[in-house]
Amino acid sequence: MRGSPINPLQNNQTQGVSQMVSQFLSKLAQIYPSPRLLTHDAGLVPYESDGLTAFREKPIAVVLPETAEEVIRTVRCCFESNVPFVARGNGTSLSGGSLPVKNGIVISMNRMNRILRLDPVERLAVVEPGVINLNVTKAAEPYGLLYAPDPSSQTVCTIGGNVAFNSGGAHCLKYGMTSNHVLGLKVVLPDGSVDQLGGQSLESIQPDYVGMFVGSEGLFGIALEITLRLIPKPEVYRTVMCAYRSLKAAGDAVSRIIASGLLPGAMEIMDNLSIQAAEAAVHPGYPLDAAGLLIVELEGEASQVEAEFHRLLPLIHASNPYLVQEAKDTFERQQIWKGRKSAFSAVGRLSPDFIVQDGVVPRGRLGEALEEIHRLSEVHGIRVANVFHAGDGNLHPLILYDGKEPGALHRAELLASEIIELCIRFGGSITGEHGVGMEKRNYLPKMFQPNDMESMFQIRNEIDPRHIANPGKMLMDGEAPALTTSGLHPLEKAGVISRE
Amino acid sequence: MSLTTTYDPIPDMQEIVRQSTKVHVCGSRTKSGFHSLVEGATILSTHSLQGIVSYDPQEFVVTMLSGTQISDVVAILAKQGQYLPFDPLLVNRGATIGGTVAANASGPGRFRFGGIRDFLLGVRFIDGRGNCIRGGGQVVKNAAGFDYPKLMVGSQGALGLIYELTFKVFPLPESYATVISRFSELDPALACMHQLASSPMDIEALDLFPVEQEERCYDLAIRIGGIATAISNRLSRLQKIAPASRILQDHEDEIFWRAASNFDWACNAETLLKLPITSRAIPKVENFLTDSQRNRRYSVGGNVAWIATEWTADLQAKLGMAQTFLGQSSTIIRSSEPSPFGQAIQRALDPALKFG
Repeated sequence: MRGSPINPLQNNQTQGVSQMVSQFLSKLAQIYPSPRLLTHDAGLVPYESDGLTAFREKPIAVVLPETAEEVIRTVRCCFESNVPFVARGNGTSLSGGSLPVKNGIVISMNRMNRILRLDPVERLAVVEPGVINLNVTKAAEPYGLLYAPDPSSQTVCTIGGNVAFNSGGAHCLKYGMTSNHVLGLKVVLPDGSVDQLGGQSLESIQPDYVGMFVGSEGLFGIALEITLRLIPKPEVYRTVMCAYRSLKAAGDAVSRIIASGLLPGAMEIMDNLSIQAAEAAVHPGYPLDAAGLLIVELEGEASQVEAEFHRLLPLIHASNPYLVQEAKDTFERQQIWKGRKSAFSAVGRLSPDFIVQDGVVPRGRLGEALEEIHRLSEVHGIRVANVFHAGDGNLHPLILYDGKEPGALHRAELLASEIIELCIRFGGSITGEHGVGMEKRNYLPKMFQPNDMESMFQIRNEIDPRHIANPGKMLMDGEAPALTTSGLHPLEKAGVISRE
Repeated sequence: MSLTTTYDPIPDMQEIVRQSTKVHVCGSRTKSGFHSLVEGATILSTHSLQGIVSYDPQEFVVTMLSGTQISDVVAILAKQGQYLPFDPLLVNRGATIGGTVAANASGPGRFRFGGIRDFLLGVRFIDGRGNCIRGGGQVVKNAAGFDYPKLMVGSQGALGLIYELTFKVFPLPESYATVISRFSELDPALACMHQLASSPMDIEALDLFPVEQEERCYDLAIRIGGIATAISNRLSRLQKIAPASRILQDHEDEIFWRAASNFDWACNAETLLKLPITSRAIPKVENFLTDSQRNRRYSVGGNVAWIATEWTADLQAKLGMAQTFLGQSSTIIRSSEPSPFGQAIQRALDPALKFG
């Protein structure tokens, strides 16, 4: 059941291959004018890798569709010729989700970036997959609405990619992930058939196919049109930053807040290394000597938030912080968040290479998990910076190493795998928001039983019998491209994007 | 907190699924519209699957067996000051948590934070091959593997027997209040509903329904919840947009919404239909129903229409996609043809169509 069907372009007879490739490319040329069909090295290089720079693979072609019809024709063409494809937005995946498939093509969705409809009355937006996440909120803002999921890469990442990987952000405990904000999808399945899943209503009388499609990492096909739910922008925010002498004290404060019955929109914790790095990079005014920094944000209707804030403050003071600082205005609030959202790229600059993980542990075991990560870091002699969504137990350890040092990558990977296994052992998840992709596909069978895995393969086989839709991601059955280097994404180096 | 049963009925149920050609799953049968029995089907009841498997209030996570009555769950959560924010329906009529997921039965309170799909984190079920499958997880954030929990929402027992469910829960608002605003015409009522739904006021529930005995009049019920000391301020603000003909607080508020989610207003009807709509469709539905005596309610800010009606054959043509929620199986209105995506999933999970 699990074997890959044979891709004709993987045939060993070189002459036959080049003939098949050229036949296939000529089919694509019937769909795309030459500027939108890239086949030469120079055009392909930018698509070799995504946010997980550790992997590289050159596609045989990249196509740049401008309409849903072109995407559908492309998928049908791939299906007929048994050629694998991967859809790609802006390539910010941190799990290697949009890495090209060997002897396959990349369908680049960037040009399908129209907001087709924004309905302030029904509070929804119908968008093409290439629309950038933040642009949905920008379009909704004049109506007092916003699109809730806010991954740190939201200035660059596309909705199509968010849908494929069920992206998260800092507000997931209260608002959920991407999946919770998608109402309807028009999709092309791997065999080229087109389906409409869900609709515009919050309610449904069918199985939740939309929910099943979101987060399927491209294995079920490509979303062509996405109906998103918009929510009213909170009336007020109260953001407070608290500095602690230990990480554990910051974690305990979170437990107190949760136990009190408050439901903050976000709770984030950073360790000293992350604080130092963020302060150096964007000067948010963080206390440099804190062992743990906690950011708590309440949001909602003014008088309710005011009442909540009166409850929050005593809880925080009882947790023994040595500094409590409230954002006095929007600027101060933005500064606090700017530091937090830039933390990863900032820490990344401290080291030539790094590996980032996004495992989840039950919130009550956060302190224990951090102690264990600290211990592992010392055992391996590798620095690890920690920034995490404390409200939902989503860790983001950043493992720093120098790829030029012999054996360093291997040691870093070993440490990374021990952290993932820790998350599984603690009853959590191997990924909270980055997805399984290339990076964690070896670990999925450790989180699930053989029966569960078999069922996922059965579903994939029925939806994609030829295994052409992003094969090798999430479910192990393809050839893994070689690991090369890891570190900052080129866009991060340029300061364009940052990570959770 | 943990409640374990000594007898594990799951292996027996797996065996029954393997040996049957057709399987019909039922809970406590509160949603009669879903009981179109296929002749010769083996009936598998979730009655033996009761109890909380684990509940850690600190984690906002509760796991329970599918035959557990929701009223029991609600009581256990309430002791810890927590609740199921999707506001399950028919709780006082004995609904089980498994049936609630399978029927996608979220109530008016889903307006605030979301429906079942937004709170279901993990699921265990027996598929058509008789295998036990687990999907999702036990933590509030998880992006690993296919999202089986969501797939089970609204699956109507057709994809397998759900036997264990894990939910995210939230802190229960310490106080509620409801403003009932009366309108003598539909349009201003809808305008007011839209204004409230788009406003930054945190509204728990927003339902619209015709007033009995008063032709053309509509009541808009607006519920708010939160810290008690803030409620009166919020109520005054709310009334500037929606003038109150009545204000319900405490017990009165509770009784009003309990009656709504138990369908007390529709219990004598032959059939209760569920229509997923958007609020723009309300005038059209009203137009069709105006001259009839059919009782109805537009819930969740106009995202669902509940229509209590006698059966007529032209309903489907007039109303489009609708589902018989309560009523006799002979009056089922089929939803649209299964999609290629849905069919592929059905083939994978239940190749012999034992459940489907």
